[in-house]
Amino acid sequence: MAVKPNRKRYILFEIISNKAFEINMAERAILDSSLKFLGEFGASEAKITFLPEFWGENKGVLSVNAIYVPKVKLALALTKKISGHDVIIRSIKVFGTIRKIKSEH
Amino acid sequence: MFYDFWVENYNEETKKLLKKLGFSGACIFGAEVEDKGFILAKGKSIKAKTNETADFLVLENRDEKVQRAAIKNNSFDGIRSFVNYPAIKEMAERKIALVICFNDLLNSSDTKKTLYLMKKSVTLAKKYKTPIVIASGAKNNWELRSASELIGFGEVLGLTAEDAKKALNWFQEKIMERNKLKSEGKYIGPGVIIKHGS
Repeated sequence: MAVKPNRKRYILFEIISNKAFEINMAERAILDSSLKFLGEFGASEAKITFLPEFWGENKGVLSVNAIYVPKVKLALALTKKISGHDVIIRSIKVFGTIRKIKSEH
Repeated sequence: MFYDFWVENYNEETKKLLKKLGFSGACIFGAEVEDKGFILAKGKSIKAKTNETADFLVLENRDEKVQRAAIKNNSFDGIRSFVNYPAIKEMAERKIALVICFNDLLNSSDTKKTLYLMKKSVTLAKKYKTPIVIASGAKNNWELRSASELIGFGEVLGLTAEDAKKALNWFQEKIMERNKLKSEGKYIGPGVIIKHGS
């Protein structure tokens, strides 16, 4: 199905690791990985934004441009380490509205 | 139901992680394990044409001559490499899968080139309807990736969401079905099985 450009999607993700991370550490690592994979232009088009109000227990929400969802998911999967610690980042679910995230999590 | 059909390391922690990452089964390469519940197949990767057998036998060789000789022999289930035109067409005819491991991209020294070659192989596989298997190819627990990430990986390579999901279960289920027939002694060879009439 065709998706309107510039429509937002919210990716709920989880960082699997032995360590609990601060939001800024996770944000830095994910944005660096996205920048490396998508490039400056791609990253600006993807409009990746961290939503700090949803951060907790190594889980967080990213807001991205709808057509970039698979690419951002791949960028998340390409993140190997955060602050020197091995991690696996898995996206749990993709939401269309913030209201739904609040109602489900 | 999704299956990670290339995991090179297996212990209790791996099993827990795989379940958490959304997989209901795995194929183990290079590790001796007895876990009939979760391990659905034991794989073997080889470099050239051989008479070896395994539940899931995969050729890992970039040499085009070796690939074509192996495909003609039809003794493999898949090829984990970048495959070009004539070989990929023959693979489609003989139902040999193109195996794409996420680990090749994750640990690649040249991500751009690897991604380009993967995309090229997937485009050809799509054109000639060659089966595609997407797996993590994890050498340790931290290289495992979730089913949704592997689906996203498939989409980036040019598959539709539906085809990417199919790459995580369709061919794998065929392999499991074949292994079941083999264990019951009903499998003779490709396309030849014994069916008992009622």
